[in-house]
Amino acid sequence: MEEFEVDFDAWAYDLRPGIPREGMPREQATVGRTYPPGYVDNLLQTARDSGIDMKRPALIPNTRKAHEATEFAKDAGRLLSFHRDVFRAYWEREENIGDIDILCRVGEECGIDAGGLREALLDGRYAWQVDEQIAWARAAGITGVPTFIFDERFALVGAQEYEVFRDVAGRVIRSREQVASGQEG
Amino acid sequence: MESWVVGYEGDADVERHSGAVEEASPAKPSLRIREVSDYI
Repeated sequence: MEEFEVDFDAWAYDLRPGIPREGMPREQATVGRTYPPGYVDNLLQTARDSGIDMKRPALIPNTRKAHEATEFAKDAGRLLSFHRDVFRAYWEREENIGDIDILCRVGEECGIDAGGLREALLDGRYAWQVDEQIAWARAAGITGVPTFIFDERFALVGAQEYEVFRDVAGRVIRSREQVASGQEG
Repeated sequence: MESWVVGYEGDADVERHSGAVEEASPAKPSLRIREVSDYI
């Protein structure tokens, strides 16, 4: 968002609790789930229109270690690139992002110390932060992802057009200014 | 004597009259955004 100075953070959400550590075949994880006709094709086309070569990976991974790795990336100052590249690894290259080797390779490509990341994932030092984030999302009533929280006050749910983001951002800033001017007056 | 400044500031080309009075560009409004998501 070029018009704004954005302080971005990414928090974990457990979309599919119960996925085993090794992951689960998509067809098994989605038994009984049906989509409206054309839904998936439209989704893939929308992604292509945005320059994302989105696939339907056969494996649904356990994302726990990916979230822990995201915390490591924050501390390394590489949040944005790592966050984006983990999505790409899964949705474009169909890689198992539950695999520590994959996460370390993605991290290394983002300029992260792969040895340090591996150590952190093996000893689980970021596990408590991921637990807290998932618990917070549950307590906040978040049921859909992605959800974007603006200034701890407004929530925008789902992948939206840029114009929607700009509109919400403008409203948040105007609202903040109104509060500030009210306090001054 | 009239003079001009020509060169670079950061990544931007600069060409301005040395006597020009420049207005500071307004600061961009800041915003905190937290994305809550899973990778799957």
